[in-house]
Amino acid sequence: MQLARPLLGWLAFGVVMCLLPAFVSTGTVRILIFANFLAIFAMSWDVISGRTGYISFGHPFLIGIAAYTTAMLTYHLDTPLWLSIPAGVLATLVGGTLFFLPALRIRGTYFALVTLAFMELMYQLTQVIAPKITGGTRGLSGIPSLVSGAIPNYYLTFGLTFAIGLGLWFILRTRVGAALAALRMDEGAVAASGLSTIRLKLFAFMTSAAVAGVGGAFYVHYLGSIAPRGLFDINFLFTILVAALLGGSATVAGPILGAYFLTFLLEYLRPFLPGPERYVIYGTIALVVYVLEPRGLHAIAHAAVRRLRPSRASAAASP
Amino acid sequence: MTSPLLELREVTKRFGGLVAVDRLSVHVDEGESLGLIGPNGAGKTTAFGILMGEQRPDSGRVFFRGEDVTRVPTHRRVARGIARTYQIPRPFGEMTVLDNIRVGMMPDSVRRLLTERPPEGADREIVRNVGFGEREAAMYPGQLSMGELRKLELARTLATGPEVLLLDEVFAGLTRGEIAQLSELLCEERRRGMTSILVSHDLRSLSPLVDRVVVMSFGAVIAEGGFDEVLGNPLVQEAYLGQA
Amino acid sequence: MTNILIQGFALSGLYALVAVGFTMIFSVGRVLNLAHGVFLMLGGYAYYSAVQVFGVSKGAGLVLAVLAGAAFGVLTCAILVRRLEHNPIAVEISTLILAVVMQAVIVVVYTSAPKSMWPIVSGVFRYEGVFVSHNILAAMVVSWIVLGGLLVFVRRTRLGRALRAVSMDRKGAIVSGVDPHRMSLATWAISGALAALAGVFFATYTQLTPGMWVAPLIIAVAVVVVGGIGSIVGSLVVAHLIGFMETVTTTLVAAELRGVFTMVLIIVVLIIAPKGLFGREEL
Repeated sequence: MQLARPLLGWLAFGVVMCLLPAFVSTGTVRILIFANFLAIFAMSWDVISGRTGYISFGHPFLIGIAAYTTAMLTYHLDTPLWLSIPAGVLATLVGGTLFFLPALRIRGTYFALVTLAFMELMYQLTQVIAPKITGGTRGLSGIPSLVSGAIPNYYLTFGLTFAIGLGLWFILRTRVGAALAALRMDEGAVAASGLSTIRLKLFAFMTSAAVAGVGGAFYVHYLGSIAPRGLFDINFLFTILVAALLGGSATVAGPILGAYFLTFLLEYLRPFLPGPERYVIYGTIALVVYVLEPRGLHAIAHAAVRRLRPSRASAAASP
Repeated sequence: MTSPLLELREVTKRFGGLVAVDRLSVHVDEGESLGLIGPNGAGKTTAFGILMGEQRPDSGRVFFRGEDVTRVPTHRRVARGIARTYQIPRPFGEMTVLDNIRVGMMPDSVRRLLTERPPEGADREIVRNVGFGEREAAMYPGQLSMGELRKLELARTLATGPEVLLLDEVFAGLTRGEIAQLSELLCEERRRGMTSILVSHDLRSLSPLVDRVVVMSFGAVIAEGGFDEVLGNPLVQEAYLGQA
Repeated sequence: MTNILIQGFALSGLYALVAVGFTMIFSVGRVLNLAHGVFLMLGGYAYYSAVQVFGVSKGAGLVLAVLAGAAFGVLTCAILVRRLEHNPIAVEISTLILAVVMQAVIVVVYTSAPKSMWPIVSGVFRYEGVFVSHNILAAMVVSWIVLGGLLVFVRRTRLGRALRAVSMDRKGAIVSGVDPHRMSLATWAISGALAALAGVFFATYTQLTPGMWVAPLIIAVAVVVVGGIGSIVGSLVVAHLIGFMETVTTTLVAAELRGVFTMVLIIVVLIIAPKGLFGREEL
């Protein structure tokens, strides 16, 4: 059956990642936690940008809404987490609607610019408007965490990553996935095929916002603190974008792959390049891969597998 | 008297200072095949855009089955049974021929797209009807000839289940053989009772396919009637020759 | 009041200079260069190294900065943009990645500590109790000279006319013998040079930090988006709109809200009038 192979892949991925903490150091587990969050953010980015072609340069805006909402609720009102986290996700859906409005009229390069402006606006507003509530430039710290310790947090974040990944995979392998891909290729032709482009876009944007919201809310409760710098930041955006693009956009496995690859690349460079040089290398690798193969590592891996197979077949044929 | 199936009534559309369509009234009756001809820039493609709701007229109205659809968005017009092809084919480039056709068959509901399985067999029937084999069904638009691209576009349009087809320059860029094949397809649709409006520069290929011809020039109708009658009209000859 | 007028004009002049190279690249190549802010930053750091580290004269420092900007512009175009020219979104993404890489390079070379620049023209201008540094007045004058020169260049010189032809009708220009690749290289060189010049003044106005590229990029985006992407006169008008609004906000409302207006302007204009308020797309 068609489903069997990919599901086996998901199962293998789940089993390996669940066993992993038994074989690696606590330090590595902590790195993996960040990789899991990055994977969630990259998957969220990919639902809007990779699938429909509406490039978001403001994803930290969506993540930040959820993070700030739940952080402020728990910090000021002692709201229990089971209430504040859904509230954060809900607030992100409102943010997703804000993204959606410009997408009714513009796309491509212009859409990316509006979302970038949303992020920068948020960066300035959180510092200026009601700093008593948002914590201003210094942000808020001492935000309660859901579970403590590296291992429980690892299983929590991996569980989220896995559930979101599998959920998105199920959604996007239906005809909705094909419709969104068609939207990326030619929006006018999608309308002429009798589909409401508005509803499709709204669905993609809301799904992406929900995922960003879940990620953002859990992220802030893991970190225990929040500040505008670092969150509404082009470098943060860069990491998300590169994880999705490097891994392979318009796939579910791609952004996860990209997120793990990036996080570990950064860690494995650390012994050789302890200083900021690491970021130069890491950015350059991202740039080179993107320019040479815009479809990312996922496509490179596929091509490699395809190249290996016929050669194996021909090797078997010749004595 | 029954109302026409699809009708433009007194429609005007300006682009900046240019009047693309000027108080244009055109209609097509159920089961009829109408040829829409005229020199370049006469406003034929704009008329299609307005019929589909892709462009909004500055004034005038669009009627489908006697109902005012001027403000109905494109995808809902498709749902009611209006569909078009484009002068320059617009396939989904990263999808196979079969997947392109499947987009045309999709229901306009995210919920149904999520939960329902695609209908079995209907997609391949359309593939066969337009004369594609299994091999072509698995090909990507980049691998197709112009004639095959036009067939693909027609197939995706037919997949929406239209009652009236708007065909924009279906013969442009095709070889004689491809024109013959496509004409055959269109004749077949016509025999089944499909209503259509055809825009074409290729009058010779158009003539056996249409019941009636409307000639446009500078956004307005200058002549209308049977094919030979219209071509004999001095106004029409002037519009074409004046252009050439 | 006088304060607002003088400050406003000076700041607007600087912003016009910041945006002009960004506009040119869009007009000629139809791509958005998100590394534009980095061009400014490089100009600033090049001038800083030359003048404040190696003790070169200020004039020579300016020339070096401009040359560095032009060289980087050419490199970006030849290595990156040319490969992706058919895909504006890929150019936008890759120039953003380039910007982040260059930011990291600056951190490696100069550390992330802010550097303060000596004013290019020292002294303060005093008028009825209003203080304006000579430096920002100089920025305004330079900006006017550069923009005036650019208008003359585009209308009167052979290269300028060729650029204008490409920006209006690319295919037509190619048919009449203009080489579009040389044109885009020339544009990127000019844009880089102007950005670096703007960067020197911008850095003396604020300070040199590896993250300083974001603010000018946002300004350039705002000027160009609101002015109608690609119109020099439109950009000039909007640079003044933004410059004055910022000055008014800073003096009358709250200094922290300075940038908010710019962002709101970008968002509102792109939603309501996506082609900008002066929506032409040629030089």
